[in-house]
Amino acid sequence: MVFLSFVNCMRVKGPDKFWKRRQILKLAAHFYGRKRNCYSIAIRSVQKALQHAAYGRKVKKLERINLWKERITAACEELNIPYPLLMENLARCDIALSKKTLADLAIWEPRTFKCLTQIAAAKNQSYPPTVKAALQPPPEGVITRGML
Amino acid sequence: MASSIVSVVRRVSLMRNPQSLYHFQFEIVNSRSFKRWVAPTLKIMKHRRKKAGPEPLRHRSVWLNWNYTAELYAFGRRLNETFRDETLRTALIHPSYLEQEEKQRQDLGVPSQAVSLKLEHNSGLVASGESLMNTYIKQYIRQAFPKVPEEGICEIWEYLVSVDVLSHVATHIGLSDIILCADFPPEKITLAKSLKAIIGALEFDQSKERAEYFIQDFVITQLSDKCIFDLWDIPNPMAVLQNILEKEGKDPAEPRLLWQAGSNTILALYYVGIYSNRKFLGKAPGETLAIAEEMAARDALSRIFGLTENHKPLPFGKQGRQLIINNNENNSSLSNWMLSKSI
Amino acid sequence: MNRPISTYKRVQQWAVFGRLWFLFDAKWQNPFDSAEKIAKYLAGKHKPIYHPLSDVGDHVVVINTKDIALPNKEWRYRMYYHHTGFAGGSSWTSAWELHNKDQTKVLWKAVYKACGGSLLRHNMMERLHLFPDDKIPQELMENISDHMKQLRPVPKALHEYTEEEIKNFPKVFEWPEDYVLN
Repeated sequence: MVFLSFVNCMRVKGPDKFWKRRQILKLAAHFYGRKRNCYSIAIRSVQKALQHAAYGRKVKKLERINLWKERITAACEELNIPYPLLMENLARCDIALSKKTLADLAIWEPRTFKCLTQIAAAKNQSYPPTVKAALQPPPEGVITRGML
Repeated sequence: MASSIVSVVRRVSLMRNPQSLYHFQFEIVNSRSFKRWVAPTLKIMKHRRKKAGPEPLRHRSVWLNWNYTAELYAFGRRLNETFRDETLRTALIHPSYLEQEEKQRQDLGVPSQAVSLKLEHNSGLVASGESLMNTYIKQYIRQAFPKVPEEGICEIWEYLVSVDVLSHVATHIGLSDIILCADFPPEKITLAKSLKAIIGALEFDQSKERAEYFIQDFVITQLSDKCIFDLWDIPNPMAVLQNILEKEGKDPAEPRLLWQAGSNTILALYYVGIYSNRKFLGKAPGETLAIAEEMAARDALSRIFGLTENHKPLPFGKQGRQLIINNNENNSSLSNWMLSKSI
Repeated sequence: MNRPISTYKRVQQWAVFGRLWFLFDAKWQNPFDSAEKIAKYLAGKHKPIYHPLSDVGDHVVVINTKDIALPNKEWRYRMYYHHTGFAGGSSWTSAWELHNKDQTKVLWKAVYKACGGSLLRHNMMERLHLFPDDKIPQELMENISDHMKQLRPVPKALHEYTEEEIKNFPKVFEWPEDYVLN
């Protein structure tokens, strides 16, 4: 008779510790001091580092969005149009360009970006949210037949 | 001895789990025993590999599963061209290969008359391919850049038929494995010649037009994304500009400082514009006035020659097939500049 | 000929990352509002190519810092704290006292604060050049390429108007002849 469950109670040496530790030490290869070489210290610092990495993945996205906003704001100021006005009126015109694309356009294709600001200004003028905007002269170079 | 079955945690996927940095996929399986020999064996193997050094470079044909006929067929299919088998074989035989074979036979004591090689080398195809390539490339770039003077056309052509460019193309269409030559790895000049032979073979087997399209697709495309003024270095652009304006009967070019910043610092910036009779010709920045002036003259020339950054893209692909080359004359040279060519 | 970068692209990049020199007239300007704007130019946040780690800030030369205008009662009640490090070494200096000692100090401190707390602040402050009046050294003047717009128009003092302008100024009513002003 074969006792299949008996083997589970037997004292056996575990599988290779080497490869398990290798995984952790690989992640700790660039650390400083004993954190790099001693497993029991490395495991702690690796876990902390992974927590930081998880946090960083979220923050990285937010920082990138903030950078695009800053860049678009800078380009808007050169062209005398406030950032919120540009974004709101582009949305009204159904021009669905992301902040990243707008920032890239502002750097690499400044004339395209200028055209976009003119379209936004024209839209702001044709559907004025305030009386002040309606009284301002229309922007030059935008020809519409009420399509905006 | 009673056989024992143990539960082993085994990594089933080599890929990391994309959700997390270091979690691999695991499963629990029954195994006869723990393989405790794996780690030390792998360590020793790695040590031996390191001690033996890297693999020597060997030709692909050294391996048993090399099938030259299949490779030749695949080469044609890859390029979507149909070659005759004999022509393609001839095009890939370099004279040095025949010499090597003859020498080997002599060394073995085989009389050359008794068993002749019956192989031809590719010199004839190289010559025909080269002549076709030279004429077609010049015609094409004259058509594509009608305002560029003949000196520039020659420089662009020289770049395209240079050994570096041709050997680059030859390597990347997979010629280096299938050519037969004495040197290994094949030298650049051998690769360049083989590409010419392939073009010659294409003209021989199919038609001149087909060979021209091959040149258009594989050789002239190397021009895309290249600044023409990098291929064609004009030593004194201002003198060239003055010469052109004089030939066109316009006022001489006059450089003007448009704006500047930080002139007393090492990060000085000058913007120079070039005007002729108050008409704008070109402008460029520079770290000194001399460099800015030279670059502005270069900018003015690029506007005159139609080589600005926003110039029309070269006709490739569908547009390249519709291209009708009707201009067999040379473009006007700088020494004999024609008014009609200018803007 | 294969260059790592084309000749025209090289100078174009030089122009894109070129340092500009701006002139700012601080006359009758609020130093704390001006500092925000100046700090923006020092960091390069007025350019679409801005990135905190790429060195794209510009130089700003500020003139007439002696004529700054603090809002409300700030001259009297804004205190600048300093501690020598020794026991009992703390001191509070009011803005007007500081201004009397150094006419560029109030604006300098305002810009220093507006530059934020990062390690880049030191380099940014190096690019700020403050002058109490409108006398700038010649070699600095030659660097200047542009000017920054003032935040508010400079009001004209009564003594700057000519007699004729004052006389022709439209009046709602005339003072009675026997009315004694002051």
